[in-house]
Amino acid sequence: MSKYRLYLLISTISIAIFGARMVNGRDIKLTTINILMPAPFADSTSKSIERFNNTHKGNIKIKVTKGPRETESVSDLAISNLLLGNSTYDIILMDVTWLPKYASAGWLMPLDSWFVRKDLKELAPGARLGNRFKNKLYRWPLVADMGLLYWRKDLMSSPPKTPYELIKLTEKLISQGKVKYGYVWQGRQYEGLSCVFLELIEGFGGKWLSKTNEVGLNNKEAKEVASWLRDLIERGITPASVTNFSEPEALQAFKSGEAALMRNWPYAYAELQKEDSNVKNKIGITTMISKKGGETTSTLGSWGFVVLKTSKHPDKAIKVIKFLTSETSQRDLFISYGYTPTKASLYKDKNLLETSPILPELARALEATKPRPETPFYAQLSDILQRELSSILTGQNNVEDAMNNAHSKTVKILRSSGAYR
Amino acid sequence: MNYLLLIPATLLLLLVFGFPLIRYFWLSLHASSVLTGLEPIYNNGANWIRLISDGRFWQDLYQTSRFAVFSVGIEMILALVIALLLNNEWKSKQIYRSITLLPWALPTTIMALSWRWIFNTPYGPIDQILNLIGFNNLNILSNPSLAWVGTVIADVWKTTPFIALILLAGLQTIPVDLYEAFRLEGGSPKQSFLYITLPLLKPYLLLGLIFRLAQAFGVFDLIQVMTGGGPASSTESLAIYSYLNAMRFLDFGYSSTIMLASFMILIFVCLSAYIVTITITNNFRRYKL
Amino acid sequence: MTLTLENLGLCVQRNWIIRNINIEVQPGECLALLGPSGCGKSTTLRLIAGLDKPSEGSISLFNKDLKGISPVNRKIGMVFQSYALFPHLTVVENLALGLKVRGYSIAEQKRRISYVLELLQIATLRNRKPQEISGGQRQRIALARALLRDPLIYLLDEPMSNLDAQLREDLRPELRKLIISGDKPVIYVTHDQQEAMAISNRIAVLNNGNLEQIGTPQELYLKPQSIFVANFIGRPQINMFEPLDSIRIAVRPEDIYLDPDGIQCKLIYKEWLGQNQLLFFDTPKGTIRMIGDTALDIPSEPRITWKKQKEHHFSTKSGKRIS
Repeated sequence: MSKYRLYLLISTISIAIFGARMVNGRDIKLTTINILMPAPFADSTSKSIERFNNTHKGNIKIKVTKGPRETESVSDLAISNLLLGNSTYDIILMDVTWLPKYASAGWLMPLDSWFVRKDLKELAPGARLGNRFKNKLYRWPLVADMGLLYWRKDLMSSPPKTPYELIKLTEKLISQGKVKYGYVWQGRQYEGLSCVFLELIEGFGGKWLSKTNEVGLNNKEAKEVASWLRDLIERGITPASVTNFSEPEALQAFKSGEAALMRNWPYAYAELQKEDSNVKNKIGITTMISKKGGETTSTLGSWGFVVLKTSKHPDKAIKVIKFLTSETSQRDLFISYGYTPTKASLYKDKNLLETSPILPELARALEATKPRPETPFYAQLSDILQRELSSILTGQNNVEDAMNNAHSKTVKILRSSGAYR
Repeated sequence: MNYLLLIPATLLLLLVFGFPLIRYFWLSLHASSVLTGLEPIYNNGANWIRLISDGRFWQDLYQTSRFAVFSVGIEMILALVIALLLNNEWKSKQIYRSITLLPWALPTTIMALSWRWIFNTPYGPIDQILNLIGFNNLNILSNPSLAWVGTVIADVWKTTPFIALILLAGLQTIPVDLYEAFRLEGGSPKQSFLYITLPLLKPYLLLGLIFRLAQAFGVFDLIQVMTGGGPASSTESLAIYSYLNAMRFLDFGYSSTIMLASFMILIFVCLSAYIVTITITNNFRRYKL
Repeated sequence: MTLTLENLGLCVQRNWIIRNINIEVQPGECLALLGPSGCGKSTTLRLIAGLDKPSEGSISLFNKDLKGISPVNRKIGMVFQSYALFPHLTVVENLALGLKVRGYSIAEQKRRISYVLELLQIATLRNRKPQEISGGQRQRIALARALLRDPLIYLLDEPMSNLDAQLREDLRPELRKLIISGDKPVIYVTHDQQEAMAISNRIAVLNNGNLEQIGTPQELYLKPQSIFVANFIGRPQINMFEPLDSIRIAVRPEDIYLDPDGIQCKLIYKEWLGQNQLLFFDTPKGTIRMIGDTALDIPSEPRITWKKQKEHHFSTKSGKRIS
């Protein structure tokens, strides 16, 4: 009897060890794809990711690192990680403006061999922008984002189309006592101010930075934009406190019903339709005003996936990206979270058109998108512009001097970077 | 032989302090940015020459010093008052002490965000109060000549409790007997503050001062969240400028130069503060016989 | 009368710390406030100094009511138990600070300080800080500070309690010479009955905030007015017998002697005290302590007794003396 027990014990132990080996063996075959995403995206994609992990059990497992909420903080986290050499991430969900910088730092893997012409054609026109650097594809878009002009349907029959109309209309509304402010936007010294400027300079017929690296900040149009923004504050159409307004402050002013117009991103629509909003069902969206000679422009936001050069499993990473940017996933994101799709077909999708009244406007805005200057030195250029614009808006400096300053500093940066060689 | 016991601590300090400093110094002598493909290339001190002629560095140095001097100065005085109040025998003083510490326990970013909304024009309470008493449209955080005051107020609100705690600990080491003996000798409350409290609190005052100066000099998150350095760069600190260079511009050579320069200035400031405080408090014992 | 405490009481949060204290201090007298810790002796001192306000009763100094008079104007020279020397100041600065705030000129400060430094023979300590000198030296600085005050009355709060036994005995004559034998009255707080008896003209015994008895050391020793005083004064402690018919009898150990007609007992323990010895006997009345000559030969079956007139009688009920 005791001998029998001994055999039993030995066999149990050997089965246990063998079994563990088997599980380990399977572990080695399992590939984990690490993705860094800003917190809101990590939350909204969690369902799709769960679905993916379930269907690829034992083969690929997506692990999401939930980054900070704030856009630039995600970049800080990514850069700190990349600087250490062997990044822990395979994929990063990236804002449109980071791409040239990351690409020229040599951190990104070109994706041209995985995404063919057909794939590109499926993208909505606006979503095709901001994914390339020096003729190579580095990024595949998940969510399109663009600057929009929100207007109050209860106060006007149609939104203003030109700078002149905007001033005339809002001044009338203010003098009639219908609103406290005419137009709220992002005037704080930060990236949002550059976005506001880009839309206007294009709309006024100027250029911040041309394709041939010509800087247009000391041109008539650029100065007109700066003067016009300053004028809005001086006329009381925009509150003077706009110089510390980012998106939440502008949204708060518009949501309370005290402003007639607002510049913001698509996310604001859902916020304005909430129960606590004073303007629920009273809002329309359109693109930014423009003048003769310019064209109405939306600043391209948009988030997309990049694969890091250090990733050991690029093929599997691409598989993950293709899954997460598929029509199904994007439809989900739009319905549940209002994230603007990048696939052209979704803009004609009957179901989506029924659930969202603003989809046609979004499609139109997406066609009007333009990216911010696509250079590795964009952060410096934007910083220079923000500083000078902020000094104009707060009355610290006059338009002429400040814009000339911005111009010469921008040229200096580009020159030292060898842009004109 | 006794010095052998210091070796672990010294090694740790070298590792934690020395290594980054040497690394900063080394980087500050190199160009290391997107232009060099992030490779460090020796550049003959060009970063330092650039720093000296960089108006923005000097402006930020001025703004950082202004922030540090005003916030730490106000904090020290307020904290002393609070510590003196809390040192009294009060009913349920424990509760007051805990309440006083609350601001300090809050994460800086959260409290900075709250202050941004408190100062918000036109929806923040401060603006509404200012409107009531006749100051219309001050736009504190949107006004380049006032925004720094807003950041100082927020910093004072947040950090005063911390100094108050240090000073309270110091006050509790002073025996009550000393005050009573001095009272019997004819010392007024003001005199006992000057001749007993201040000199005996000196080590704690110095601790708070140096600690806070160093912290305030490196202010980053509070300003980043409240104003982002604006409006018109009027609140930008050295730490923000250095951060911009490193994380946004990927210019690590210049960023290290700014960091190292502000570190050296900070050492100088702390030493001066130390000497000034020692001199001031020593003046209370001028009557050598 | 120099100092009169009349019906003095202090109540803190509905607890009477002291109550019904009536004491009169004669000119030039040294009065000891004696009692166990927490009996209210320091409290009484603080009330006299003006550091606390009495809840009832009055204090008058040279027939002047002290009510509403600030501590400094009471002109009191006080020595704290902790000495309360300023740790950041040198000896000279410690002494000078009070003079300075009272507005003496530098020259006058120097003159006075030099005088007390000489008097107390501590001139060599001038530039030391309190933590750099010994406990006895610190006590002298504290005394010097009280002397500099030129006070109407001295209040000494356990001035010896922080010193070791040897130093205490050494300093006692000095304290007597410098302060106590002067013409200023002294109130001396102590929990040490021997010290109180050695140093003071009269002793006020406090217990639980009440004045138990006030009188000369002899009166207290020979005619203790309560069980508490009898027990507290005199070492070795008085023999206190089990109560009988609501009377408690007590006899001092030195009043016990060997007697063949006495109570039969058994020696259980003895302590050699030098010139005499302390003997512990087991008797039907309980343990009895006796002081006897060292040469005394204790028989194997000793019998002890005492004279009837040496007995102290106390009421069990009130604890007060009966005869």
